[in-house]
Amino acid sequence: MSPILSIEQLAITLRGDLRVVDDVSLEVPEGEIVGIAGESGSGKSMTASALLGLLPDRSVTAGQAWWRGGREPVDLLTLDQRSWNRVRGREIAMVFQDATASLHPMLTVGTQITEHMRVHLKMSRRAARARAIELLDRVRIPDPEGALRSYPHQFSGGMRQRVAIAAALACEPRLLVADEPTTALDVTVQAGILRLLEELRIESGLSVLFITHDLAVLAALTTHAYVFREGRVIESGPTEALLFHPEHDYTKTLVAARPQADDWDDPEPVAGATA
Amino acid sequence: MLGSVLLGFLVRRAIITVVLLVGVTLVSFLLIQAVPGDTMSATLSEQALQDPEIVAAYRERWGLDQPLYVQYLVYMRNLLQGDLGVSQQTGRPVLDDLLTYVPATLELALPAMVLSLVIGVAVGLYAAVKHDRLGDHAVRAGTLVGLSTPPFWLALVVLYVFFFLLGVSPSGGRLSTWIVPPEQVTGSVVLDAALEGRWDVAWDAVQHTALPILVLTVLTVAMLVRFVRSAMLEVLDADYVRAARAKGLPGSRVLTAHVLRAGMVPVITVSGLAFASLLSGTVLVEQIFSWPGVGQYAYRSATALDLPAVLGVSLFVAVVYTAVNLVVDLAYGLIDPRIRLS
Amino acid sequence: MSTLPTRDPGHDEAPEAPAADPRADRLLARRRWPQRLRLASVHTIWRQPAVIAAAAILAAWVLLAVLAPVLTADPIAQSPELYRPPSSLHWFGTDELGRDVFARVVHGARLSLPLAVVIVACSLAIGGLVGLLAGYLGRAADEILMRLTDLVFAFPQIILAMAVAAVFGPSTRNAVIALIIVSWPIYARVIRSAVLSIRSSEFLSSSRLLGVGPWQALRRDVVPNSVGPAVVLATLELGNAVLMLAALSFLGLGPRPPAPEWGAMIAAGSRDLSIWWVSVFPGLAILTVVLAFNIVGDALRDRLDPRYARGLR
Repeated sequence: MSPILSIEQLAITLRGDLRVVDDVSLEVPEGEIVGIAGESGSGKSMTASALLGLLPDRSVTAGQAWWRGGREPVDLLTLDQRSWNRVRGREIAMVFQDATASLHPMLTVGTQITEHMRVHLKMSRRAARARAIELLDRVRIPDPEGALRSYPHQFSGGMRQRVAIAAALACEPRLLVADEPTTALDVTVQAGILRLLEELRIESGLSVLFITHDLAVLAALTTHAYVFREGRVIESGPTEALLFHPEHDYTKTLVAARPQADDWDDPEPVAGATA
Repeated sequence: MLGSVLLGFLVRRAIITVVLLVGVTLVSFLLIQAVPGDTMSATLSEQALQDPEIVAAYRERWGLDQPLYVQYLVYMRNLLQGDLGVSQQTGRPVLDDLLTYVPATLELALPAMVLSLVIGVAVGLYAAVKHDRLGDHAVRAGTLVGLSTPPFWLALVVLYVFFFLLGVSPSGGRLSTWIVPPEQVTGSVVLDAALEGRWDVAWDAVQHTALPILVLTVLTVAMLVRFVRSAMLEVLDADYVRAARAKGLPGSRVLTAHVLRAGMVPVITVSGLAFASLLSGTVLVEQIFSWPGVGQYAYRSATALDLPAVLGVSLFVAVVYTAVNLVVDLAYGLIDPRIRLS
Repeated sequence: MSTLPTRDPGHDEAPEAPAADPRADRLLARRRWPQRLRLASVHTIWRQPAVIAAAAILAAWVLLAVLAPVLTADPIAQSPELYRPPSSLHWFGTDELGRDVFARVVHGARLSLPLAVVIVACSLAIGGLVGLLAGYLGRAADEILMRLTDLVFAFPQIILAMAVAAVFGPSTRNAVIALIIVSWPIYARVIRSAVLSIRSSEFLSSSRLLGVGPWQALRRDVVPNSVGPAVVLATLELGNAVLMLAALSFLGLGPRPPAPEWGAMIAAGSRDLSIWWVSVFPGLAILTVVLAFNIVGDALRDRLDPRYARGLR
């Protein structure tokens, strides 16, 4: 079966002839979580932006991004504004790094979860509300009905990201592009969000393109991963192989720099401390 | 709980307003004290100074024999009773004068403000959306010219073009001289004439307001557009706008429901400032259009060194400005849930 | 009018290439340079044609002002040739006393430009000091000083200036004093917010850790870093000072006749629309000078501080 998304030789040039992504090829099989790792500025966020037509003004792209989640395969890079709005939110949804910034501070949670349902699925206000309550319940927001009437600032950071995920899932997209959704959160909250994504994948066959700079997250969540550096893919493969047997020097340094789980799971006695 | 938070906000704002107003009266009072020489000889006419009765009454009324702080308290007491002194020029209480002239100014200022807000938001948003493209550059250039144009000169130029050259506009005043003005009800000649069913008179009055409103609007719009543009640029850059796009909402909905809503908060805040600059503009513009409003009253008083009148106007404008700011703050609190609910 | 680019692509300053597009910069890495580092890019405003044109206009005005006595007739000398329209003899025509309008407009620069500089310099000194103290001392001092600026802000500039000028009596000196009184608070606000943002930033606290005393820190870190916002504001305010001075003298509260002041000349011409040249040319003089200041100020603002000055005027 062909992957739901395949990017072929993507290149992105920003205004001022600045190439931020070059020759990137990448595949997301249906129902899998694929990871992109790399430090900030490595082009991973730009790649995600390109998949939703959110690149900065006057950016130029080359290559193809074949999307097979709709009625027929389309090249995302050639869509016009109208076709974009059939794909975005409906077939491909996005979760941003910082939910505090990506939720509108002056609109209720209810509005932000239901507005695109009403546009894409032509749902009535009441039906959209009912589905929103379902969604909030599914992302484990307590008191979903009350939450609909609340504003984002009334929630904690982790709850806000759950709201953002609920909004992204509203129209049952086939692919979720998650751009470092847990970076701004602390570790326990982060684990909850990751578990949620995995559940969604199993329950509804959601495909996820998960962007992170945290290799531990990558290992916990993804089956396949791509390592980005300076706008290029320098290494890719099954996540496990990639992390345990990195071939590229850069990946090796990344892996080595990562604090090992057993560093704190099983603390070795510090010399002299036990004496 | 929600109510008590909002109430607390209101009370805080009210206290700040009162403190500001007291400060304003203090400035007015000190300005009178700063007059070189005797306050009395500056405020009373030559003739009145000859009359010992008037002088004595004046001294008593303003507590001139008392120490300075008592004089201030007396001044405050008189103010609270609506006593702003008597204008030397008109010989009437300043408060009465203000009540005569204020409606004329509002007849220009309010429509100009509404027009400015509508045009300012629309054009500012347009420029922000077209950021760094031709439309944006054109708007920026236009607003810079607007900001750099002396208001009184612009008034003169439009008067020259539309009255002197083209003859399509009256030269000034609120009504053509041969028309008997309508009974004053609302204070706006246009509305009063319409209330009496004299539509030709109302139309004549509208024609008289057109040019001054145009000039005031041009000046205020220039400032508003620049502000709206930068506010909207900031919002367009925000993650929540990208998120709205990522949800596949139509561009128009993203602009109205998301961008405008967030961008309006700073715009509402600045509209108080815009209204103040509009009121300042009336001082100069009314002069050119022989418009019998507060601006012209202020000007005539200032040039005649009619101190009670000048200070009365300053105080009035400061009160209006402070009140507008209070309203603005409240609107701000109502629009932004973060202020209302936190 | 594509001559007003707000930001140039700036390819040649690109070791951190992402900074070329401000939005890309935000997307890729959220960093913000301290003021001091950004001062280095000021010279790039010269790549904008509008800025070059504006600077040329200002230079031309300064030159005209300096050379006015050599270049033109006596601005005060009256002649029997009243109300002459522009001609080869009198480029800008003559006014109600037969004076040469061109000579008066050019000599007007000798009044407006230096007075604007005086007004801005004095307001900057007063407002800057107040802002530095308020921002640096904080707490009660901050509260008192800022309420004071609020107070002045509560009066629209022209009306307060008018009241002050009227109280002191119409003269050049009093107009300048009035304008200083109404314009210092904006400097106080801008400088204060600049100080506050620096105060909380890292390099100040690190120098405090190194044992630098508060006054030394004020001199070494705070003052130099407030320069950017102050320069932007002062440039914009130069234009505003020219405008306000003209407005005051238009109202008869500025330099006394027969001084060739632009605002007063416009007032003289406003009495009779058929002699348009008496007021049109001084108006254009004000427009060009103020516009030039605004263009330069705007370009500086884009370079130096996208944040502080915005929205305060």
